[in-house]
Amino acid sequence: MKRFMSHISSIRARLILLLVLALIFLSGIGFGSMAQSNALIGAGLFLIGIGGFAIIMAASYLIIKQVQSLNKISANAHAAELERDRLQVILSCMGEGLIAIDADYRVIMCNDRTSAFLRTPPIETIGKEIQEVFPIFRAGEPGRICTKKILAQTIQDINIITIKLADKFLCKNSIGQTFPVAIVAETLLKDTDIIGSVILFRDISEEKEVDQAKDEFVSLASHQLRTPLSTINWYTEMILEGDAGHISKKQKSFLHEINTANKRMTTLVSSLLNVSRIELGTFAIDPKPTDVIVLIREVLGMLKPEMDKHEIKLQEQYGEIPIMDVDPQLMQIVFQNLISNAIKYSPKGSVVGIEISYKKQLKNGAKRAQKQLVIRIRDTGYGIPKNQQSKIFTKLFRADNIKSKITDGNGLGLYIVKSIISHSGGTISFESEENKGTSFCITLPVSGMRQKIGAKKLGG
Amino acid sequence: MMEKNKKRHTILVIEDEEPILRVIIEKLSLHNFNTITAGTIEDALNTLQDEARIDAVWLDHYLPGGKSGIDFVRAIKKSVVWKHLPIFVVSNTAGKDKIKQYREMGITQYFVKVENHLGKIVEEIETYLKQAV
Repeated sequence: MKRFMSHISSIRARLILLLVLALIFLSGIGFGSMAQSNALIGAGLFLIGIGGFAIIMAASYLIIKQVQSLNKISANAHAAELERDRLQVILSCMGEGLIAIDADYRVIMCNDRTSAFLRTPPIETIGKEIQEVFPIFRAGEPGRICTKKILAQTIQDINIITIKLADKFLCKNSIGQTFPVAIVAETLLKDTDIIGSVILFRDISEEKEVDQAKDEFVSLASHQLRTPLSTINWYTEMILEGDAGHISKKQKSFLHEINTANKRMTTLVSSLLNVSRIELGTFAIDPKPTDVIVLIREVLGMLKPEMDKHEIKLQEQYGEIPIMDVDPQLMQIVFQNLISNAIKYSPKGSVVGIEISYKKQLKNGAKRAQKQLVIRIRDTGYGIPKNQQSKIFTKLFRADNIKSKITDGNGLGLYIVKSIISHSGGTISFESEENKGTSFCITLPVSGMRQKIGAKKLGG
Repeated sequence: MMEKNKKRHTILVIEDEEPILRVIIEKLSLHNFNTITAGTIEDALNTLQDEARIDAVWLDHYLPGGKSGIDFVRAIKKSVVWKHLPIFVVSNTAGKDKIKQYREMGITQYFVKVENHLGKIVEEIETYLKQAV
């Protein structure tokens, strides 16, 4: 628009110039004829010549300029058109559906893929309410269309929201078919004002199938692996209990070895199952009001035989802890792993300390100190060598100093613990010195564990 | 030395895995139980129609023949005669959702095979039936 205005004003300037020249030309002739003077007529004619020349020059200058500027405009328009076409092609080639809405939740544009996914021609979508065009809902709640509710997060505030496979959202198209959907929506800004939202979405039916196949495989594999393990378990148990007749001391000790190895295998199978669920991202976090101290005492009860075997001195220190929203099964896995590590990786007669407190701690980046549940599990055991401390949460990692001492570790425990804690909004850290001991510290926000909707529970 | 007047309980064991089935029967017999076996849900339901004196069911979850333990419990709970038959699910399908589903359907107890001593399961069934009498 601005460019166009400047163009007009330059034309006006040129017209004025032409008018001035024409005046000079006319006055030249006028003077010449009035004075009846040859010299003046000559001068007039001379002026006519100059005027004519000037007019021709000015006109040609004007024409050239005009042509040039016209060329420039059409070149610009052409470039803009090219750019627009290119964008259009990119948008229509995208694998994702793209919808832009204004702050009133009305569709302002969408690409071809959107029409293909939703089975509605683009013209019919423009101007309509997003909820009408793009109805999404959680699996199992087909009556509760929540498109608007979800997008409100990007319209009331500057925000990006992501809906993934594990969130289990479905979209219903105009002919009534539903498909699992993954969505990314982001606030649309003009300078600093929120003017709407951009939604990117795609049909994730294929991913869902692959995910289900993998999940079924994992469950089936775990079932298939467990069947022979239970057979070994129960037969060994019967022989050990004398149900098949008397056995010698040596036979008994051998059978105990079989039994222990079998138990280890059983734990390994459960751990592998948990790891594969963590990696699939399909495990659920289901917080319930829980007494954390009762929970940890249950775990200590289960580990009593181990503790007695290692002659562990247990020190417990519990503060005043309110009932908190945590997933009891997951926290049990966390406690079980950390405490059994503390027992396992300590020489006989070591001390294992457990402290649970509820205190204010300054979280990274937070301005105010927030109340947190702090759980410390420390031992006076073998410790972790300094140069390997960065790796201890890595899957299948086992530190050099204990690899040969304690052979029945699988390197999965801390990986599982770390995954559970970080998925639930908590933190885990540790301090360790070789041959002095290790101290793990877990913090969980006062609000408890963050809920995570997933297909499967860990530990199953 | 068995007491003459002590009732011998009969358990219907539904389990398809041969070695496991044998060890279960062995242990149950040692604890003075009568056993009847079935390898599929179909079998089990037929057996129930023929046998009037079954005191409890030992049930696995995954079974061949297209029907699982869940189908069995559903059928039992619908039947007027067998509605109150104690069912002990003993399976390695330890998914918490499965366990919850079984519990909600009204089974007596759920045991995960790999996590339990055979002796312990048998003892618990024994205790339950003793109390029930």
